[in-house]
Amino acid sequence: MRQNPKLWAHAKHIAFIMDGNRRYARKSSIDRQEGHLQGFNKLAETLQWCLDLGITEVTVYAFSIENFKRSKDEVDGLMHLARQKFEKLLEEKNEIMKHGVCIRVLGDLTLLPKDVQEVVADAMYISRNNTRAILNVCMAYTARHEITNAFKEVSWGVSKGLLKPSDISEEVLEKCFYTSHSPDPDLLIRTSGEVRLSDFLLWQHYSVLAFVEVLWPEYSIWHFFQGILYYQMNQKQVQLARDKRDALRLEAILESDKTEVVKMLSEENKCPEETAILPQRIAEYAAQRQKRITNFVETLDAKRTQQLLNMLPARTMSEIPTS
Amino acid sequence: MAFIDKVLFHIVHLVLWLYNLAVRTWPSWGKKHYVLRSQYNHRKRTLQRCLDESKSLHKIPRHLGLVFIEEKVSICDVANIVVCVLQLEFHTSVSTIVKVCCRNILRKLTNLISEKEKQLLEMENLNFTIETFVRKTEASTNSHNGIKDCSGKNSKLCTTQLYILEPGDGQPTLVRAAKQYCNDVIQQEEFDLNKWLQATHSFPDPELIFKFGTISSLLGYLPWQIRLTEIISYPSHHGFDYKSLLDLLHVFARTEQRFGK
Repeated sequence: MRQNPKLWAHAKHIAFIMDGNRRYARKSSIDRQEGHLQGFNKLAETLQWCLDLGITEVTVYAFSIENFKRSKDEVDGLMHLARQKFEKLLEEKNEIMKHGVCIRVLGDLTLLPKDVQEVVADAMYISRNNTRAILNVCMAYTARHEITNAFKEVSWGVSKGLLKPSDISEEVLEKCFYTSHSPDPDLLIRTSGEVRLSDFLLWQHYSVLAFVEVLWPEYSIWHFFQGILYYQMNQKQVQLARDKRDALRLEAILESDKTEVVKMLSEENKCPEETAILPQRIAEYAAQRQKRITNFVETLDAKRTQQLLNMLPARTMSEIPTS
Repeated sequence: MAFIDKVLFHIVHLVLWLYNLAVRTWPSWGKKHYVLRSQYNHRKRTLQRCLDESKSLHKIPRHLGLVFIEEKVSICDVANIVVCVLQLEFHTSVSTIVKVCCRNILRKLTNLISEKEKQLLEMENLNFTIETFVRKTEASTNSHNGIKDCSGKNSKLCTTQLYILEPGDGQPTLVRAAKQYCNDVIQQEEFDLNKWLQATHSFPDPELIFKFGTISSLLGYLPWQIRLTEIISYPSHHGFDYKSLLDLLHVFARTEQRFGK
């Protein structure tokens, strides 16, 4: 099965909303925490199916900021499960490095308990350079929080003089998202029969949506194949819409560059209509804008790496060679 | 072994494809049966009946989004659906992925709706507002210009608003908001994104989306606003009638939200 048929379009990035663990526990008369554990086991199984089909990136919605509203018992149980699983992952560090798995935890990590922050940062740090398979775990995440955070990041860039407000475009905002290093998911699967996105990857919803009736622990390989097929049937039109969106984005950027140059020329008391140098000035401005954006993104990445390093536990910090 | 795996994969693929095809075409068979049945059950639709029916739903969306993702979008069918929706008194926004001239759609829809209102409803005039957001050139001071068009005379109801959205009303609106945010931060003023979007679009978040078409994606429809929106798909908007609308609203009324709890 590793040889995916070339005849069909092939999803590279899949996102899951793993819904229905608690309902499964109620249905099967088992403890709620046991339901969550079975949900985790299903995730491990699903990741293997993805790898078998050559899908190299998976994003899962593990814990929303809204989930902090749940009872203390349940939140503590979920955090304990997360810590336990990440610790186990760290024990298998060699396996992770051997298979080239990159783990990213996306969301406002500062909202997580300190001990969870430490293991999460540890896992992210050791696997940061791996590229063969990528697992994005959304914890303390909501899409609105992600968008609001991106607003704060760009305004930070503007206040530091790295960006001009007119430089802001969809691409710049996307660079500020928690998901900035991932392409938009090709397919988003939600289990449990609910037909809403529940604040998950709202900006990135130029993807095929598949709502499945079964509860997450009951999700089988047949449902998974069904989802892949669903993607293949819809892929062409979604790609066309993405291309149209990209064309519109480009148009808006060119328009914004022109407006800025015209503004600059009128400040220099030159009439833009009569100036033959307008196309050249626009090209120069576009190059400067691109330079500003690259510089901003580099600074932002450095800031984020520093934040991650600050979260690392002392034992890992001591292993990092000082440059 | 690899060869057998590949053959098996192709067979599974084919079986699932046929199954999917059957599932996709089934609703239209069901619909044909319904059309035949409904001819016998036809009752005159009066304003009172529509209001009674809307009250029988224990949950009605304050804002309903209609998303048309089909190759051929018929303005006439869209107008039919809008007329059905207008009777149930809530905000509506219409979005299509076909890039059409907004003003054209607006004019055609307004004319068609007034026409159909008289033809189909045989009842007192409904009053509704149509708003569309047309981006002006950069030279103008406002980035948005709401065009309002009121139709209907002497009407008793003035509650429903209809917004026509185009692709530029999704992510690009948030980009404009980000620019505004940066300017406000420089001026050290407080900026509330929700308030800003409310002022721009002046509608509540859609609680329900009807997505017409077989493509299963929302393709950039109002990314900020659809956090908790229920998404209900229907194979095509051609021939969608009042009964189908009520059926889908009943599906919505049965949904339960936990808001993360």
